[in-house]
Amino acid sequence: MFYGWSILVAALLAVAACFVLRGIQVDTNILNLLPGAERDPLIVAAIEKHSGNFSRNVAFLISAPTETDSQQAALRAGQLARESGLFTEIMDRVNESQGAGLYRFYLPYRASLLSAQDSRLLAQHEYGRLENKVLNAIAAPVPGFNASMLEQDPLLLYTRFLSGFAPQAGRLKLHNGMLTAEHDKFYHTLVSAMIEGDAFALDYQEKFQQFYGNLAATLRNEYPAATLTSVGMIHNTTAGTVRAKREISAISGVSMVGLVLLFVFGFRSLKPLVYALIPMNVGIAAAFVACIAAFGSIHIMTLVFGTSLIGVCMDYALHFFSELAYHRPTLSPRHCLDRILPGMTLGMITSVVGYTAFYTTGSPGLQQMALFSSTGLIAAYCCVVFWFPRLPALKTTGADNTSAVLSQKILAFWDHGNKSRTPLALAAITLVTAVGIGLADVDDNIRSLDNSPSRLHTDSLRFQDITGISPSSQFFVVTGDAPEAVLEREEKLADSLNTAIASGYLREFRATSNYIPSAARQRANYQAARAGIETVAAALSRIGYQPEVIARYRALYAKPEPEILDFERWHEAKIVPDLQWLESASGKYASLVYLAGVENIEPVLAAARGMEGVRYIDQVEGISNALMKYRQLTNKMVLAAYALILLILTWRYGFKRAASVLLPPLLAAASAFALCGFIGQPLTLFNSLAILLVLGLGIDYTIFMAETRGDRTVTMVGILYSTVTTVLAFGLLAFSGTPALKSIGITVFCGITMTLLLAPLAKPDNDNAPTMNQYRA
Amino acid sequence: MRKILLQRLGAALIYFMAGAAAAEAPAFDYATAAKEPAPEILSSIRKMQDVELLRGEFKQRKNLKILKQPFLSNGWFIFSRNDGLYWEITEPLPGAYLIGKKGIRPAAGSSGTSVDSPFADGVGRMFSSIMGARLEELESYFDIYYRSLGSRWQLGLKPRNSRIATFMSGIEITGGRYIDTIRIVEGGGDTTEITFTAVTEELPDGLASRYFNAQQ
Repeated sequence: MFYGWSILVAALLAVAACFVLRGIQVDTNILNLLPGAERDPLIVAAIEKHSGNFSRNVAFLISAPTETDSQQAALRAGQLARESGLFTEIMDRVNESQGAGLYRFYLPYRASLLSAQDSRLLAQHEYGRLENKVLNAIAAPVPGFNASMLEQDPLLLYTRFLSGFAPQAGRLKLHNGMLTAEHDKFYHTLVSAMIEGDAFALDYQEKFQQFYGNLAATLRNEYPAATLTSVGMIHNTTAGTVRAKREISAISGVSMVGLVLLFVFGFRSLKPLVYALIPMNVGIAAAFVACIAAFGSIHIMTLVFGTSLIGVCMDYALHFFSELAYHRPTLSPRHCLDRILPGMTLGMITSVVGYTAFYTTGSPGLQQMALFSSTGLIAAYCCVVFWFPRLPALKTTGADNTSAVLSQKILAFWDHGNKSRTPLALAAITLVTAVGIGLADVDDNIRSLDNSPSRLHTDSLRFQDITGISPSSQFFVVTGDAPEAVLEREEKLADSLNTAIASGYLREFRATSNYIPSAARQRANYQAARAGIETVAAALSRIGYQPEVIARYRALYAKPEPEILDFERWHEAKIVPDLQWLESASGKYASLVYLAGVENIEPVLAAARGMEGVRYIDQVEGISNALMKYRQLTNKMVLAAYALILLILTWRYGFKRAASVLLPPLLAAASAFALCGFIGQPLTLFNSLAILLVLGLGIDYTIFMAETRGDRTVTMVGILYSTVTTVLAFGLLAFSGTPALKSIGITVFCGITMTLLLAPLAKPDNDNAPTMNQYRA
Repeated sequence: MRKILLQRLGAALIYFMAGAAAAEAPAFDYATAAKEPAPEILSSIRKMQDVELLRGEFKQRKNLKILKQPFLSNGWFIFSRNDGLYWEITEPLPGAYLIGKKGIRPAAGSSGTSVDSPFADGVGRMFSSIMGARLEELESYFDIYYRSLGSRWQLGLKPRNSRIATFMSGIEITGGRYIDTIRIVEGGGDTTEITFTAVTEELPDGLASRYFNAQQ
């Protein structure tokens, strides 16, 4: 068996290596964890496009007491950004030639290009209002256009079509070609850019940090009066990395030192630690291979929690070494294994069976986690069973007394002569737990998981306050089999959005059809304008235009059919940054229609409901909902797993004892939730996932307790060691600044410690507690 | 934030529009005008700067080549040193605007449609600076030339900045106690002349605040 298993493991490692070399797909989209999560690849791609846009955007706001300083400093910032080569689409000052190109590009098609409002006015024969607009524009005290523009566009239709390209950028106004706002006696000028790299890539973050430090220093030197505020995902990811690095070095440092101390004091040797890691790593490799083979990719959450669950197998090794340490030289490794084998086997089976509940959820995340953990556990189990008896000799002579004494005390508390102590203690714990759970709040908002430093939060509030621009997570995805279909659907949506704007539900929206109306809309525009040509010509004459201007206007509509600006030509011309349009590999098309300044989304959604190929996406709400559903599902599955485990235990122990084996981890899990209630830490998905961990580990504690004959202190010592290792590995996360990790840490810390304290409840009734003296000998 | 990305397009467009016309020298004779103001001009401009509130009527005459005849309009205004300019056109089509640091926008409740002008904001600020005779603000955009006409004076503004120069070749302002006329020479020889009459500092109590506060 030893060799057989070794060959199998070698083969396994070879396959794992192949997978790694071929490249592993790690799925980080939390929405993919859910059953019935978005399956339409086009929608998924659209959402990813949005996330990409969102994460690449970065804005620098330069504030100074005078406009000149603010703008000069902004130009300097733009220059530095260009020189750094780290950004694209840098926008500090407007590029004139680009604007001229735009004007020329659309000019040949202007007869069929209309703003949404003009389109409506022409269709409804509201020529008088169009005439008044021209009169108003000419009479206005400041010139808005010059004569050559009116010459080409006497009714100002083309001008208004193009001015639709320039939505109000919040409170920022264009001045000297730069976007500037005056606020609190300061002038603030915006420089925006897209990062040319991945906001999550460490090397980009490093370069960005260097650039940003340099930018701040340069501005401080050259424009001492100016201050710099910058917002963008890159700041948050960089701060996250810095924090993670600090935490990892602190937490994992403490954790490593703790583990080493545990083994040095517990076993007088570090070898057990090294050996204990073997089954765990083999387990992870097996789990990984199984997951990739079954799912083709692996979700990041599976990796994180699956690995933790496999951590259970570390405990098998710990029990083995505890036995070995306390019974040497009386017992051979083979005998030690025999002593723990029933507990190990039952523990492994219960866990594996428990996880089967997860397969029924239809949640790819939970299914992966179940497969990952089950495979990992079985492999680790095999390592202990087949390899450990053959391990090279360990010099673990003697064992430390402290753990034995502590274990004894825990055992003695529950094994007191006083019959009423156990029910009283349990009642007290239950009561306190119930109160705590009553106090606990639930929070599924993704924003609560944001761990950005308060400095960034302050900056982003300041940015929003000054500019009036807030990041948008709400958009429509419009899909279709051809660009024309998408544009036509978008226009239908745009009509309802324009109504919403008129009702004040919405400030503005951005759609591709603003820039390229569908061919159908272009034809309709042309025909509407053509039908009214006589009335319009009379109006132009009333306004006082020279006859040749009017003749030129008439000539525009001479042909019965317009020249259509087709989508392909427009798309290739790259008129707008390619942020809202996408084409799938299967030849389908989608466009993102962004909403801004949403006051009331309900009427907007009601109007769009039922429109073909139109889907509303709210990223923040979508993810928050997913977190909530996933949390509820996880809670249900934990309960289902408990129920399955209860069945197995009942088959082995009978119901009463099965209940006593199940009670400690159950109560411990509840007490972990209760602790969150007491300290005001809201419950999130991560608490629920951590509870899974508490159950997976905890049930083994009590099973070992139940399976031990006679010598219970050694078992308790083994449990004590596993508790300490688990707390060192996960409990320390309670000190993390990352909310998700903190939740896991607190839950595991409390849950697993409580399981340790309650574990003796699982011991068989008819058994007598061993005495200390047995171990002193 | 992404709106800004799109904004750049609109902004770019503006500069095309601005560039669409050629500049022409205005009638103001810059060659013989002084670059430094004579003391009497300066003192009357300083006096104007002290004016808190002003009310008057205006006539505007636009000479555009594309129109057969000059385009005439008239109306009245209130100027407030703190709040800017309230500008109400009564003929040929009613409409009212608020012009100030925040640019030009239709006054609330007025029948004036919004000015579909990409440079309305910048020009609005400039117009408000001119009405307040705030030379310091004007100097950042224009070279200012001065000419004395006895008790009256004339200013010639020449754009310093090529962006402004692309759509406006100069501004001439004539005044005495207050500003009498403003003549804006646009590209292609088109001109806008605004003549003020019945200008007074005497305003019924609360009149100004009624027009400006209504906009808050």
